[in-house]
Amino acid sequence: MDAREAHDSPCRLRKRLVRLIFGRRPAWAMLRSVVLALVAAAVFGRLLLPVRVRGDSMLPTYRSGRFNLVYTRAYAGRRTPRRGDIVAVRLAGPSVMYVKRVIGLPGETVAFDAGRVRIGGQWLDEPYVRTRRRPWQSEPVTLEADQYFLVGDNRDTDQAAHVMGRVRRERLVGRLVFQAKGG
Amino acid sequence: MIMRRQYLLGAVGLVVALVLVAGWLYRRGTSEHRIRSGLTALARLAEKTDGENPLHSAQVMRHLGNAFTEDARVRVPAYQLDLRGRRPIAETMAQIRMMHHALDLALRDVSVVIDPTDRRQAAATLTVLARGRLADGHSYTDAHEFRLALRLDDGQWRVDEVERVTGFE
Repeated sequence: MDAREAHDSPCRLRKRLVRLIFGRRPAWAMLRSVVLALVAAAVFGRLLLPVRVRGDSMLPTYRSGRFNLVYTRAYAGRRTPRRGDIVAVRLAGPSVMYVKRVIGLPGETVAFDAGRVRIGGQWLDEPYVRTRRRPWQSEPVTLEADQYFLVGDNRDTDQAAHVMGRVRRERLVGRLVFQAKGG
Repeated sequence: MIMRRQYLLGAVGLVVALVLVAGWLYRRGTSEHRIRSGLTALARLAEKTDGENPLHSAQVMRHLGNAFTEDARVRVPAYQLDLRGRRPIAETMAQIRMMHHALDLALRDVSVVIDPTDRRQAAATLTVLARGRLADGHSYTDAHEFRLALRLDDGQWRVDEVERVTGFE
């Protein structure tokens, strides 16, 4: 190795490193990064909200700690929630949300009878519920035009401690993207 | 030419920095910012760490009371809670703290609206995310939405009314 090669090597290495990180045209690479960051912010800040499920009210469908996405345009326009959909319900905002399943639609009458759900007197088939160790019981409630009846899949919990009931449509943030089987 | 461009870039940078600092200073002085800071401070005050000094607990109770107006009201029907007055509210909060070994509170989605007709009154909505460990060792994570009414009292924004909002009817 002569003196000139020894001088060139670190310089060439640095150039290769810069090219590897920023590409042949650093200005375009910067622009691409900015556009990518803006698109990611728009998608994951508005359209697909990342959520981490906490708690056991949706067992066995979702275990605590599981990652999911909420599609906020699922019920845009004329699209309405369907029975079996797993939805996110906002509290004061979208930072903290409840994840529940839609079992009752507007105008229907919902009741719990010995742990099973009755919709207008008919038993509801719920393949996503594994066990019903507690005989949940409730009086029939009729849903208003903009109300849905939501409940978690885990019916082994204490009924009084389980967050469920009628929710107005304006509180539904969207539908969970990764819907479990049976949903 | 190059020097001029550098001066121009420097001047633009300086103006942007000045605007940001001015905006930050302006926001710091607004009622909305003061209310947000007050609510965050209240949450920090109500928190509890393992092995807390009992003397500190007594101080906390006094400070908790100061965050509320003299005739404040707290309503949480789910827990049959309807409190009136600064002292009963502070005492109940102190009791709730005593039930815990550790309590961590986080405020989310805080929204503050100053009454345009009376700038001494404001309304706020927020979600409280509570992670606690009770004296019996049971741990829990809970989220509750609250609606607050606040009033400017002796130059300080104090909570006048607390109501738990439930999206599930």
